[in-house]
Amino acid sequence: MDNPYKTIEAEVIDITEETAAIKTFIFKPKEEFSFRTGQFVELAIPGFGEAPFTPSSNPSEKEYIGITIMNTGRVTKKLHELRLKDKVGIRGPYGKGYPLGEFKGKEVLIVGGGVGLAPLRSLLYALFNEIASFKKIILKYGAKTPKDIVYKKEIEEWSRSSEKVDVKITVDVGDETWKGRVGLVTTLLDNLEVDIKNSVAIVCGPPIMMKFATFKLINIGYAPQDIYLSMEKNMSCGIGKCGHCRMGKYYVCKDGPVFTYDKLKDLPEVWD
Amino acid sequence: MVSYFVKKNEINNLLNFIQQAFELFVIKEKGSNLYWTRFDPENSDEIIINRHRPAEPLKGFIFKSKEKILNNFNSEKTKPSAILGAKACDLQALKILDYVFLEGEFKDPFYKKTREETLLISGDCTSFKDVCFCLGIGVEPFPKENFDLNFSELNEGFIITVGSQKGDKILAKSGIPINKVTAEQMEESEQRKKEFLDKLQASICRMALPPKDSFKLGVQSNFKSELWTNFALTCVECGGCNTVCPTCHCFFLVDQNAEDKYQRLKVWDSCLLKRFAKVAGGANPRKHLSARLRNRFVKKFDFFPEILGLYACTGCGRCIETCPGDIDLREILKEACKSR
Ligand code: SF4
Ligand code: FES
Repeated sequence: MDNPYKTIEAEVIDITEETAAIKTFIFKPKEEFSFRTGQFVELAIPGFGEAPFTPSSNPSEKEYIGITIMNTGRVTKKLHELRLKDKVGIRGPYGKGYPLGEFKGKEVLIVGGGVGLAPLRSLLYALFNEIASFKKIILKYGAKTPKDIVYKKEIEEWSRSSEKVDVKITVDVGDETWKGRVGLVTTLLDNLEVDIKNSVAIVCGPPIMMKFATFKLINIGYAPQDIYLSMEKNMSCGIGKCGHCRMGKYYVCKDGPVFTYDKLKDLPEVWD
Repeated sequence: MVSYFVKKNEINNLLNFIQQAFELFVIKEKGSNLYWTRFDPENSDEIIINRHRPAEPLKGFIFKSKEKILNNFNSEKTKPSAILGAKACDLQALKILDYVFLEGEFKDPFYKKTREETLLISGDCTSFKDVCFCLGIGVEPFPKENFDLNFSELNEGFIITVGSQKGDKILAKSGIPINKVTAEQMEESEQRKKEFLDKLQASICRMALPPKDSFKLGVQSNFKSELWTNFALTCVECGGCNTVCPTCHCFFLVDQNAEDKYQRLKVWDSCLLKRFAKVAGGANPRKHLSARLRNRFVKKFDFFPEILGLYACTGCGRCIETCPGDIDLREILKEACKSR
């Protein structure tokens, strides 16, 4: 019988330093490995431990998988020490991703905070793959300071890539080099030029940012079922067995990690 | 299900036969408690088949407290286990564990293998502990399913009920004389069960538990109540309640190194411990102990009934017995179900 805990070996083939605490690694799995955007994987350092991540690369890229990692804990610290040619273990993908089919013909509003842009980058690539199917793609991204902005180069490219794409960035606190906008990401949702009735909103970021962004979206008229949230809980097994990721009647690892807000709005402990 | 009558003095032969192909575990009394212990043919007189459930839950034989799930380099072949004397509350708990590990898109191959190869021989309860409240949560103390063979005690022997083909084969191959159950024996058995049920019922009545159908709503509607904070005051976060619970199934994965090799282990975890739901970034949805105590009740009395139609509590009372903080699950249910 298949062992669902078994990992596939993957080699580090590229490393990009996004910020002081965030790196994007490109891994080349030894065996075939594919995922749908929004699904997550378990990444293991053999002999050290595993942690869950939602890939940040284009899901149509079959040869490799990109994962953006912030150095915040025991495993991520170790992952940050990885060098080219090092080997890791990978298993998955797990959970339900973004239902791209539901977004077709709509104005897709993407709201990201900090390293929460990682899964959204993968989503953006997936949307760009079929850009003709979507009416508009709007990205609102907020980082703490200019130094915390991830994917700086890509963000530039995205804004120039198509008429349909509109990108706005803000930082909570600016610095002497920053000429852009200062303010929380929720301020980018004021005076939104979006046909809300024909739009979906996708939010990913730290819990507090997700909470306020969601409330704001509700305030400006989004229906709960049109708001998609990527929930981060303590995923361990990834397969609905270990009990760690339970949130109300859901297991985030199998019923999520992407949920529409109508499913979550009455659950306790959602934003904590 | 078919049943046979077997004389008391034949049981040892049956056990010796089972012992050939299985690692046999039986119940013995030590101090004021009953414990599982390896069967010793030289020392088989004090084996307890009926009585009440042992101190440790049955789950550990099937969902191991620590199991190698990756790189099991010295996987020496061991005999499957046979368990004698499992009780109804523990068999009921297997429904929860089976659901968790065997249902859904992913199955747990380790649980599956052990579950399939373990021989489960159960026994009717003939005594109970003060903390036993099975009937109060709808679990009868006489096994009806999830066993290979079940023993009902009579004066002269046992009525052995066959619950599976595996049980049937073992009984047939053991060669011990099996007899049709006579009407008198049936009568005796029913009489014993009835007498026992009356006593158990009286004990549980004295607990004054709320009706079992009210647990779900009680726990649900008290989410914001002070009761969790009040009851959590004496919790020392030992996780003992999780360990002895026959349905608690949570685990974590951890790597263990040996020279240049490593193994990944699946180890029992406890939701009462602070780091249980903490994410790497530091956020912890259940920072407060009261939220973790509440979570245990939500999982057992709201979540499982919601997704499976079953309480993840079988009334075995082990958590009550084990808690150093004297936290009594029955008192929490009473408080939660008080009409306001
Ligand atoms: S057994 Fe009692 S003290 Fe220990 S974690 Fe459970 S409730 Fe707390
Ligand atoms: S990560 Fe184990 S149950 Fe969801």
